[in-house]
Formats: sequence, C-alpha cells, structure tokens
Amino acid sequence: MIDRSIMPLTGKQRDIKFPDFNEIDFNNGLKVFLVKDSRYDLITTRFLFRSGSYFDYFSGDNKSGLASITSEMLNKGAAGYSAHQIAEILDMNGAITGSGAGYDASFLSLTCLPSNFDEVFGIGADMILDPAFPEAELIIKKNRLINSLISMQDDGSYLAERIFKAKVFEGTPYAGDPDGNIKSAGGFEREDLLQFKSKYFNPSNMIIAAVGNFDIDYIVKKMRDKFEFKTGLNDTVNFDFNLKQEGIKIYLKEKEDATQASLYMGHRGVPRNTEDSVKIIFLNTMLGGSFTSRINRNLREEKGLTYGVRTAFSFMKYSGDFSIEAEINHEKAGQAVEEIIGELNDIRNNYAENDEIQQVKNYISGNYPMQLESSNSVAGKILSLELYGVNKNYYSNYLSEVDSISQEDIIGTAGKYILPDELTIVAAGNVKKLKEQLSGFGEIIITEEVL
Amino acid sequence: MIEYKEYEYGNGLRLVMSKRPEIPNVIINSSFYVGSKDENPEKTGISHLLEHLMFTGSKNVPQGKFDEILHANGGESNAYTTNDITSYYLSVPSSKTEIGMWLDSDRLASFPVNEESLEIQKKVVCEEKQQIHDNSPYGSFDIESAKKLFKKSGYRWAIIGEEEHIKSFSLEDVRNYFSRYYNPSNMVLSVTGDIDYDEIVNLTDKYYGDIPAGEKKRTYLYDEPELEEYTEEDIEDSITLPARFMLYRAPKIGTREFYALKLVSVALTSGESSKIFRKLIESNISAEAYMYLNGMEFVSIFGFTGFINEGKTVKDAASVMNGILNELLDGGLSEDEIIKAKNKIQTSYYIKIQSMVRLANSFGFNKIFYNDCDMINNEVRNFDDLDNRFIKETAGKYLKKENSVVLNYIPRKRS
Repeated sequence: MIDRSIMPLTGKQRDIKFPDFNEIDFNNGLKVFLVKDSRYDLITTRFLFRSGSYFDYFSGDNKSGLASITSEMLNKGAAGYSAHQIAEILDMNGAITGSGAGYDASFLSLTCLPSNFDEVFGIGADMILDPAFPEAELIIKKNRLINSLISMQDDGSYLAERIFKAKVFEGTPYAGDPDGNIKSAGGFEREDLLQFKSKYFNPSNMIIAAVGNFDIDYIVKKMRDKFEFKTGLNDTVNFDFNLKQEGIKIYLKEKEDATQASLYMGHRGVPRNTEDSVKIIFLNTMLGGSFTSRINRNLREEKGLTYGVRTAFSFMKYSGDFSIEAEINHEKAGQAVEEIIGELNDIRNNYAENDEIQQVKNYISGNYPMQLESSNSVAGKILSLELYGVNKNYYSNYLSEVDSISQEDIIGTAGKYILPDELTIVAAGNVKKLKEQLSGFGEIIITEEVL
Repeated sequence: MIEYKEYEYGNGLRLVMSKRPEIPNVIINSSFYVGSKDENPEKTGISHLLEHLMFTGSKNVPQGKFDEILHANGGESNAYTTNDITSYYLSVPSSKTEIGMWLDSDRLASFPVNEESLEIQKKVVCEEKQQIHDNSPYGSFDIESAKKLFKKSGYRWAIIGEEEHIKSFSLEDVRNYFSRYYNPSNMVLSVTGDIDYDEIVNLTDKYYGDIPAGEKKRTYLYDEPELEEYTEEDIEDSITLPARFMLYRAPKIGTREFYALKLVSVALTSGESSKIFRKLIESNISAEAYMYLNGMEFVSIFGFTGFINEGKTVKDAASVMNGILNELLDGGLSEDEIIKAKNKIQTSYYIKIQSMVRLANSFGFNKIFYNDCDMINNEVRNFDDLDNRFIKETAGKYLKKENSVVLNYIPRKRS
C-alpha cells in the first residue's frame, strides 16, 4: 500500500522551444510563414488580410459587417466559376474552409489532404484575386446574416456583450460587431464589397501561413506565381481612441422571460502591442482567467452564485477592453457585482502572496506547451505577432518573462489597467429586478436599442 | 498509424497508452462506464453532479484544493457526462505525471465528497441548468427531445437531470452512486503524450493498483419498445424565429448501419454544395440547417434541424425538409455525394487526431464500448465499403415517419 497522504515529488519541467518556421518576404510586401509538419497528411493555408471591421467604420455610414460579408462572399463566384462550381470543387476535394473577419483582420482558410492541395489552392487564389460577388448570391448571404442576427437578439449574453462593446467603444471603429447589425446587413450593395475588396483584399495587404506536410520550395513557388505582383498600398487610417469614462455606468436591457441575468462588465483596455502584455496576461490569469482564479473561486466554488465567471483583456490593434462575464440568478446579481468589484479593488490594493504568484507562474508555464500542440495553433500565433506588430521573439521570451514577474509587477499592473471607477456594467434580464439589485453601484440607464 | 499499448491490472483496471513526445505534456483520461441512462428515474442528474464533485477534493487533497494543486503544478482539467459515459482528463507537464496520477487516483481510492461541497455544487449545477437549458433560446430541446423520443429506458431524461432531484440529493445518494460505478473494473485509464510506457505501467500500478476492483457494471437492460406512432408537437419558447427539429431513433454506435447514417448526415450537410445548403439555406428558408447523428450505446439519435427565417413558416420548412428526406429514401445518395462525404470524413479525422486530449478520450471510449483500441486506426475505413444500396436500405429502415418525433419551436406570444 502506498502512503497517499504525501504528494509525490517531481522533477523540473522539460524546456520547450517555439517550433521552427520559415518567414519569407515577397517583393510586394506580402509575408509568408511556413510551418512544415509531416506528422499528419494535411495542409492548412490561411490567408490573412490586414483589414478587419476597424475599416468598416471608414467605409461609409453604417457599413458595420462589411469586412466580414466581403470575406464570406469570396467563394460565391470567381474567375469565371460560379458559386456552385466552387463549392463542388472544394467539397469534392474534401476541403474544410472558413472565412470571416474580426476587428483587425479578415481571413480565408483552406484545409485539405496534400494530394488535393493544387486544386484547392488554385481555386482559393481565384477567390482572393478575382471574386465576382454576384448580386443574387449577395441577396442570399444578406438574408442569412439578417436572420442569424435576429436570432442572436434572443440570447442575453450576446445582448449584454454587444451593449458593453457599443458603450465602451462608443463613436470609435471598434464599437460595431464585426458581423454587423440588422440595419447594416440589409444595406450592403455589391459595389460596397467590390470597393472593400479592391482596397484591402490584395496581396500587398496579405499574410499567408501554411502548415502541414508539403515541400517548402514547391509551395513557395505556387504562392509566388499567384500572389507576387505589385498592388496599390493600403491606406492606414489612424483614429484617436480616448475612451476614458467618468464614474460607473450601468445599462440594463429588458429580456422578457429571462430566468437568469446576463452580466457583462468592464472598461477600456489597451492594444495588443503594449509592452506590458505578458504582465497583463499574468494578472488576468490570477484574477479571473482560469478556473482557479480569484473571481471564479469566489463566485462559483465558494458561493455557488454562477456556473462560471471569466475575465479577459481583449487586445485589438489600436485599443482594447477588459471584461468580466457571467450568468447570474437575478436575486444574486447585486451580491455578484459587489464581490467582483471587491476582487478588483483587492488586486489593486493588496500585494499578492508569493505562493499564489508562483502557482500562477507554474500554471502558465505548464500549460503553455499545449498551445503549441498543433501546427495550426503555432501558425495562429505567428500570424498574430505579424498582424499586431509584436516582436518576433515574443514567444521565445514568453516563459522567462512570466517567470520574472514580481509582487510589485502585479500590483503595479493592476493599478494601471484595472479601473473600478470606470466600470461599464451591462445586464440583460428582468429590468425591474436588476434595478433593485444594482441601483447602489452607479447611474442606471435603461437601454432599448437593438444592436 | 497511431501506436498504442495496453495493460490490464488485477483489479480489472484497463490501461491504454500512446506515446507522443513532441510536447512535454501528458494527458491522463479516466473514463467510467456510467452515464445518465444508468440513473434511478427518481434521482436523475446524479452522474453529472458527481462529475462536478470529483474536482472538489478527496481524502488527501484538501477540500477545494484539487484544481489549485493541479494548476500550481502546471496542469489543467475538464470532464463531461453523456447518457452512457463519464469522462475526466487531467493535462500535466510530463515531469508532473506522478502528481496527476496521485490526484486522479486519490479521488477514487475513497469517497471524495463532503456535505459542504455537495451543497455548493448542487447550486452550481442548478445555475448551469438555468444557463444552458432554461435561459437559452431553444435550450429546452435536450430535455423535450429525450422525453418524447424515449418512454421507458434511461435515455428518456436529459443528462442535467430534474432540478428537484438535483436539489434533493443527499451525501448518501452520492456515496452509493460513487461506490457502485467509480471503481477500477468499471473504468479505462488512457494516458497519451510525452510518456515512457514502462514508467506509466508502474505508476498506474502504484496509484491505482491497490484500489479494490469493485463491482463491474452489470449489462444495462435496454428494453425500450418501438415508437408506437409519429409524434409532432409545438413547443412555445422565448424566441423570435421558429425552428423544426426532426428526430429519428437510429442504430447504436459501432454498427455498419450507424456508419451509413453518419455518412448520410455528412453528405447532406457538409459544405456549400450539400443538398441542405442548396435547398434550405440558399432558398432563404433557413439561416442554419443540418443533420447529425448522436451516437449512443444502445440506440442513437439521427437529427435534422432547420432554424426558420423571418417570413417563413414551419410548414415551408417542413415541406423542404421532407423533400430532402424523400429524395434520400427514394434514391439514396449520389455517387458524388458519397465521395465528398468520405473525403470530408478523412480530412476531419486528421484534424481530430492532432489533439492528445481527443486521442486519450477516443481510447477510453473505444475500449469501453468496443474493447478495441484499434478503432482509432479504423475510423475512416469504417466508411470505405459503404455503397449506395446499403445507404438507401439503412435510410429506409430508420428514417421513416413512424420512427420519428418532430418538435416545432414556436415563438411565445409576448405581452
């Protein structure tokens, strides 16, 4: 019989190196990253355009969702092929495809077996270089998008998040949902997509990452043949983000029949390229970014107030936000918000114990290798560094930077980036009950708008 | 070809290992041959509640410290409960494999739950039920479909269970359930990642070898009678757009008929050249529509779902959905549809096996239900010899009206 009362002693974690990759600059500004991985008989090619919904804002009145619909329409006819013909080619080759847009980038991705790569890559290149955006297909896409957005209005957590982003980023290019809204979706014309494509979806504004079982020289040649030609340079449009807020604001949205309140609260944040990003990630992991973080432990494991609560710093290219999200019983909403604000103040005002800091260091460093398990995830990391202009050594230095974090770093980072006095608190649910629960925290605004 | 090794211990514990050294982490998966269908009809939800309670501490792991110790050692964990199985995994750096096994085995070696954690997790699970089912659009679907599709077997209630039952569980209820099902002879331990086979065999012996074998789960008596008649029901929900859910009883997992219907669901759903995309989405009936096959031990569920667009009716959707099914029943699939589905299945398989967590999970599942770990290498081959004659025959046998239940979700009239 073993003595189970003693936790076993273990050795030091084996070091992990960020996988090797090739980086190639084409003469038109296009960047190519290659991660060769022969373990699996697959190739994934991701085409990333350095323009996402940020540029919707600069594309005319209420063009929210334009980057997204433009990328999602790439496969709806190109280079003489109809939408149906493209779908047939991709499906016959067993390709798994994706497209869409986030705040700062739009993408097209294609995954297939190496034996089908030539045909899939060829049609992918046609979709990027010569999309047709047929009127009839645009009508179908708009109908689908509008109906999806109508359905989302029934989801309390979606409403709470949308209202939060719209308020925190009010009047800025990040206020809108990258997927658009019901009004904007109805208004898109073919000309809007053609203009957005010609301005932003061109090889000079592109990053390609390919991952999988391929011959490097062969795949680079394929890419050069299709994409190495001069295109117009893209406008970079700067925007002055001044998101400072005076005092706590509470927005309540009525959601008929809600049996729980959807809570989404937080405040302005910082761009991805901030020099404190590792410290911020560390702080968030300790505060609410993991199952054993302070806020989840308090609200779920000690008080049973919620199925789960998570905090996150969303980093965008030019700005960002900090948010806390949970579904809470209406009658406990006040208690939950009070506990959350208490935790925010605590991490700002009191030094964390060294034991807790060491635990978070171990958690981050122990789990980090899992993020490198698939080559696709590695490619995602490389693409993100390039897109956001982050130093390429970021991941090589990541764990040593995590390891160097001190008590002073945490309290300093919390003081700088956790702002309890600027909270925007959004709750979707029974407004009457929520008003009673939350009236003590700040100015209450009932919002009717459907976003 | 995925390599693996197996080992069986004196207490009935079955161990499956697969080495994947590129990443210095290890996945430890414990899968128990028990799920919600095994519950007492008066005590539903206990499998899933126990899944929550297994993370709260154990005899040598102080209450509330399980995940804390795991995280402090660079680990992570998760679990899920289905109708047939309860599966847990821990991920740890390979240097901490022994701590992972210590944590995982200590909660098996003796009953790990106390009153305080039971009361908290009952509340958490009730909140989960609210979040997933009660306060979510179409969220009652799992509960309603189980009720309508099955009348006698343990598949007739949803995994989350009845709220009244969850609230009423005593420590004794949980202890009895734990003692009956959570023992070495009723589980499979699968370990994947940066491992040494001999070391894992020895560590497993050290930490799990002295746990008493316990009772092996008796064969479940699945005695659900055939559906007597076609049922169609309208359910009012807090939604704006209606949806139509067509459900059929389908063959159990692992059978040739099961793979045939799986192929049907992929062929008709996957990709923008699929029939469902063309006839439901492109024709502006649905924003989302799909077929799926939810595999279970004794019977599976074949589903065909269509969310219905503004201005369209349930009748419009029903007409097109029935048309797609009738074409299948009349002619099966086209040659191209079969090729496309097989190709998609192959691509998806290569994506799946890249994950050590999914690999460990598959080993546990395959060992429990098929006693065959090589299933992981045959997943794609199971579809190879399916031809249209057999596909059509299988569709005709199962996708018939009298073997189905239809639920139409209708927007509740608002005040």
